[in-house]
Amino acid sequence: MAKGKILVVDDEIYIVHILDFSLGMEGYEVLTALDGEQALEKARAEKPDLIVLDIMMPKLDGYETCKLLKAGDDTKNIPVILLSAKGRNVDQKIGFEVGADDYITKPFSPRKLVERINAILGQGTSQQRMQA
Amino acid sequence: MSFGPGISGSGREDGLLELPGEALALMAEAVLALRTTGDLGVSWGIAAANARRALGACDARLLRVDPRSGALFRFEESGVETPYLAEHGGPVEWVMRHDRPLFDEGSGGSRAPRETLLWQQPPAAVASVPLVAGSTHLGILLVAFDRARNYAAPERVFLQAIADALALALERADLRRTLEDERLRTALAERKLSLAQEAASNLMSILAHELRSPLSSVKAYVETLAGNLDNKSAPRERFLCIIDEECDRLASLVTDVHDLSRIEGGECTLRLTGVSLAEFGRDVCARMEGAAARRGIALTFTCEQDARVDVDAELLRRAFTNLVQNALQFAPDDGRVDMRLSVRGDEWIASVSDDGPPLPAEDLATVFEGFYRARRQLSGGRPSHEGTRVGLAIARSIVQLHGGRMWAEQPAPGDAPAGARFCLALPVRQCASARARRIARQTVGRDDLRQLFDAIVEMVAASLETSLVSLILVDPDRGDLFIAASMGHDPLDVTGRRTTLRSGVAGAVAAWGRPVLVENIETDRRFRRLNHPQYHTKSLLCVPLRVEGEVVGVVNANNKMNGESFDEDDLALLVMLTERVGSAIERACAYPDSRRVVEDSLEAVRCMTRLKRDLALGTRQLVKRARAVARELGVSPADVDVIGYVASIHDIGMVRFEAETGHPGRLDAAQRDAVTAHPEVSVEILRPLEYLGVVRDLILSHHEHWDGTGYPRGLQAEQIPLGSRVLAVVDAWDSMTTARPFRAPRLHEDAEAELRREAGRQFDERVVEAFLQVLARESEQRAVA
Repeated sequence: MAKGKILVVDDEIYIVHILDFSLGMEGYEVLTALDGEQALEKARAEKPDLIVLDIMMPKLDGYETCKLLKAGDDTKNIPVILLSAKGRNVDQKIGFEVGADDYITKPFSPRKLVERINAILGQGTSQQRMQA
Repeated sequence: MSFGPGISGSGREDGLLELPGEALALMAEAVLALRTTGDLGVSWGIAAANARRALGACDARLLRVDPRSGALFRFEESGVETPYLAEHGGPVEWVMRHDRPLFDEGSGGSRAPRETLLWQQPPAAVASVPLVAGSTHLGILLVAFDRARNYAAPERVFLQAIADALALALERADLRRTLEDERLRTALAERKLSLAQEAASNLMSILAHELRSPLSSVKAYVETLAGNLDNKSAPRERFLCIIDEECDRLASLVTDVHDLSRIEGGECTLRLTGVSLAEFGRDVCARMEGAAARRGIALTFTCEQDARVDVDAELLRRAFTNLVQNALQFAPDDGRVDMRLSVRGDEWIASVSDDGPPLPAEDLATVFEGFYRARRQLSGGRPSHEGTRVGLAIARSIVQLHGGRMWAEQPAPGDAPAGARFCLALPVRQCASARARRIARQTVGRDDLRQLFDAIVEMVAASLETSLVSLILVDPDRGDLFIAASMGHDPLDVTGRRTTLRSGVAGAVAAWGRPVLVENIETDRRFRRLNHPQYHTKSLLCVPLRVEGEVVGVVNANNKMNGESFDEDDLALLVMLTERVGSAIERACAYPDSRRVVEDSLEAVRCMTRLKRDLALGTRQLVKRARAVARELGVSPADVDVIGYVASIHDIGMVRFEAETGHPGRLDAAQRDAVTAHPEVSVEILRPLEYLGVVRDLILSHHEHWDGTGYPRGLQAEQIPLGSRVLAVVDAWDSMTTARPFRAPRLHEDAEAELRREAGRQFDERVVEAFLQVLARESEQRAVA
């Protein structure tokens, strides 16, 4: 039984692949999207438990996608973690202004991302659960 | 006022004490002004006025020695300086040589030369005091009197005090000038640096961002691999492959950025080789076939028309590879990419199109900016990094370096493939050599040179009596030719008009490096096809402009004012003039920081124009006759050219003289003396343009007489260069038969009789004979016509 559904959005296909693998190993069900528009569609249709959202994307960037997600009644309660190559404070500020719940800069550690996701979703890691 | 009689004293201190109160006050005021006023024009004005009042002088002049060249300049109160040539045997020469004051009392009515060019009225006595600071000679102070006089000791002291203060002021002015030059240079360097820094920091921030993506992948995969070492289900091999791929991407990104900065920073020079378009295109496609085949993409190549072009094959292959890579990236699996080459006019056009998603219209212009983030959706979620995003920017830089242009377009509805199309157009003609472009780069953007170029076209127009002249230069960035200065053209017509090398007459002359005389453009078989409709004249001259031996442009002359065709005489004169233009540009490039170098050339060129426009000396007719006489005397063709050229400029010293006196013709004795100095003044004016000693010799000696009674050196017979003897005769004829404001022209018979009478006295008999032959032939030709 999956711990939850995570939507991973990034136009870099390799990043999507590795997050798919890591989150899958952690026991999550992973959905993927390669741009903002796809992400909105999947979020509305699948109601994921959390969204990992890249900022620099074609068509609809991460900020715009996040704003639209937070404006939609059926999606506004889904936690969003922004993921971007931009690392300056101003970007983080904008990230929180558009309603993001957390922010991780690239290059990032997949393990730490998993920890953050677990924390937000109130889940322990697989190891913690085994110990419990 | 005067200092009164009976005042004596030799020592300086004594003298100072003996100055009458008013003189002392005037001196103090002058010295104070010179010590404290920053503007030398103002303080010199006060000093000159006070010196005149205190000594009862009629005039005072300041000559400045240019510290770099050692040349003399007349300093005016307005701050304007004009070159000055010390009179032979005059006080300035004496003071310069002896480094001591010269108090010329002017007694006994001696007619010693007294720098007659300096004064409004020839003075009776002149005091000349050297201006020395430390051991540096900075100039000379000259005070003129209209009566013979002697100089009492206090007066000498007065002059010395003014001279000392002047020397300090001049030294300060020189320092300020040096400082100002230095400041300008620094400001310029700073601006360049800040532009470069801005570009570099832009590049760096983009680069930092671009590097982070592959770096993120590498880090994420490595960490995941490390955490799953014992996990049999982890696709470890695939992870390693991706890491390897991302490392390659990092490496190629670094190379790309390095290349881009090299190309855009202008460090890259082209190694042009002739290639066949068809072969070139096939080669690029063959190299990319593997990458296309892996994804089932059909890569096709069509060459509609082959041509041989001069390109840097290695660089251009890189540009094409980037374009094809870009197309492959956006084409769907099993899609298609087409490359098409064709020739249109004097350009060849290449296009690469794909059947991927369309390129948004708003991106057509920005797609070439470095690191354009593709808004075109990649099909099937494939990795978006076959080739880096800098690829298009590099391709465009390379194409621009070849003098071409590049653009993106959306295919017309119904076209296949229907995705995006990237096109480039390059001139079929070759570009100027890297060396020519490097030299040209030193000239563009310099305001002082632009002025010189404008003066040059005006001078050429005046010399050849034509109404249309242009100076065309190599564009340092594109390698084609552009109009740097022009006269007689509609400015709107010529702005931005360009021509590639080899195309049109100008392009052909620049490529061949040989001067061209076209008598009738419509029938001239070399250019019939190339004529530009804008030039309505049939006859034209076009001469390559060489700097350091390299062709960096051409000088074009069209539209002769009398409607005739140009002839060999005109061509030879334009060649000689253009050589001088080249040497002026060469000097300007060699001393990029010296304003004086360009100013001197500018002055010389402007004098040449005035000589022909205002004084109508050195006109075409005179040049043609001088050349005809020289040919008649069996002189070598090269010497004929020199004599013709000198005929057009030998009286240039008169320009300055006319400006001084204001009314040519009615000369008093002193002015006549000044006129005798004009050959030397001519040489002085021409110095910045003239590199041939023989030209200077000819000019200097054209007023020498066969019997040794001429000036300035009193040479006789064969001592006088033949060219000068020719000039003397042609010149005399010209001035006898041309109407002047103060004198009606003489009849030809009278003039001829005068020449015969002076043969063996003023003129060389042989030259007079040759000249009369030329005249006879001219009238025969007129009779035939």
